[in-house]
Amino acid sequence: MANTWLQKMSNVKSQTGLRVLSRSIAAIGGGYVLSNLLATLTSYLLPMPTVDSVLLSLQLSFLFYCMIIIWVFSVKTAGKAWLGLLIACAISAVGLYLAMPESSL
Amino acid sequence: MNGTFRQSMNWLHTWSGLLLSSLLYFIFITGTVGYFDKEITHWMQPERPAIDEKIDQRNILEMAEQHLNITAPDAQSWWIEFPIGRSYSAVTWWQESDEQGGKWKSNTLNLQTGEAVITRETGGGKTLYAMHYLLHYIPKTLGYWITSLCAMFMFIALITGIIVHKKIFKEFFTFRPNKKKRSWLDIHNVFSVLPIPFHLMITYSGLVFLMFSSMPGVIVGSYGTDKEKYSGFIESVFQKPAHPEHNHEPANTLSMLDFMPDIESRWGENTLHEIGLEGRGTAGAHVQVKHHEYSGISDGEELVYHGITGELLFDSMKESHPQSASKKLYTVLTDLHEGNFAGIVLRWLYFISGLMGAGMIATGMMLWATKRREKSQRKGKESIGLQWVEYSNMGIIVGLPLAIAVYFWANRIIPIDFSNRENWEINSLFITWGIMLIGPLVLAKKYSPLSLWIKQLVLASALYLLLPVLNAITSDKNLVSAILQGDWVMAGFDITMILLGLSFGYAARRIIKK
Repeated sequence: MANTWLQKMSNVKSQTGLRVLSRSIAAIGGGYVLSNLLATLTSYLLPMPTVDSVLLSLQLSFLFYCMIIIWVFSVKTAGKAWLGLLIACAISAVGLYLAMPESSL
Repeated sequence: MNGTFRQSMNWLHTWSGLLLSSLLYFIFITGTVGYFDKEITHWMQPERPAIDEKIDQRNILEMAEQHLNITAPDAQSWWIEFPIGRSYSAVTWWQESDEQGGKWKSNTLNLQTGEAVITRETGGGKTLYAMHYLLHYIPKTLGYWITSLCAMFMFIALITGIIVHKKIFKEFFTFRPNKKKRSWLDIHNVFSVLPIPFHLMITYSGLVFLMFSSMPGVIVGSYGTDKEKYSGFIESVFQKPAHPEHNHEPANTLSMLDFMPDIESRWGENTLHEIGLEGRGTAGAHVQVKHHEYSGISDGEELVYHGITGELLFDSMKESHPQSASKKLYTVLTDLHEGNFAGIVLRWLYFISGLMGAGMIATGMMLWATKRREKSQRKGKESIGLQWVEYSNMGIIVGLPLAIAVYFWANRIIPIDFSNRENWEINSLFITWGIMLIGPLVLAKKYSPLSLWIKQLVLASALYLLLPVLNAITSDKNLVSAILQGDWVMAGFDITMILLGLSFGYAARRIIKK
């Protein structure tokens, strides 16, 4: 068993495996971070009392997460997926900084 | 991914569905069983007196207060649950004082004598149902996180499944029996397409249920990491009706019976689900009353009285302060998930939809293994991984329901005074499941996969079919007497077990015939 595993690790197939792994980490881990950022940003932007905006954004966060995961798996390469995630995270982080209510600074 | 959008989505559908399929199957099965949690507990405590809704609630309350006066004279909280709707017994609840540990205790009452009935310790339907979001043997928060992750995988599998199946409705009416891969695909479509609104609702609302744990970043964004601010947020989400401030000054509280005339003048007689006295013996005492009927899909009406002056403080009918849109969405989603409002017909529909969800997952697992088998046969290569999947599939799909049957068996076989018997009921479930998972792998050299499938199915069938017999032998209740007494909860459980046993038997026969 160990031998076949080693053989597999070294052939071309394993590179596809690594790319899938990288994409999965991007989708699950990166997607989780980005969906939290986006949902937090939404909670700042929604014109309603904080309790309600946080409650609604929490409920929407899984839609964001789902859309991000689907997007990560639909782009051409894993590298592009990571780059896109990083840019989106950066933009929402700046948005968060600008939209953050002064009281929580 | 390489290839078209649809191909990537197909890949994502397969793997997001398959990777955690065993856990998802476990969550769907135990969650579905939970729609009958109270009925299961009723069967698992055969000492409970026969259901008697005819006794006047005032008499029950009087009896219960007398009982609580003797068993829990120092408790600050007293609650009485009436036998009405899906509550099948009169139960008293009380909270021990903080010095005693502050634990909630309960007694089931015999309404003929007014005395407590000694019921066996059991996890009942409640423990079985709670496993679908807590799992078992692991810390609570970890359970929340793992089930949330599973639900997210399920949601992705559902959405990508919808994207992939462009001819979804045409496929629904296609069934090609005895064609192996095609047949599995057709059944998979039937289990998925018709109840797709249920699957989407139950999965998304499941995520929403656990969102306070799984998406903490959003809360921290507005409330910081301060614990007090966090609980302030939680409290404003789950607003409680007005009641007097906590006050530990000793004071003479009214009896709950004193409130019955006013309650009955508002709601009529015998309409209560439960009544509770909080802060008993203190100046902050108040009485809370809940109506047994649900209003729409949400909880029923509620009244709160001052425990000393008797003044009405809150009436949910009059004070229907408008809910915000986000609160409404949250309530609708969680109420739909729990289905507490569902009557008997809708409850069965919930149950069947849940089983179809489990069936969707199981047929997906079978479909994947069958496809792989065909591919490896074409290539003429034997893969150990595939064999492993094939053997563990039966341990998951048949092994889990079989283990749940053993949970019911354990309830009757473990001696009543056995210490920790409640835990051993659950342990026997997991030990059995473990054996059903590992067993086929151990026996793989001796038997073909098909004969092992048959063995597990026959065993599951026998265990379910014999449960009514076990019930008759080990308790003073049985199917016939239950029907004669009109105890349809007891009888319904036994009949359902027979039907389940027959289904497993039928599945075994189908395989044998081939």
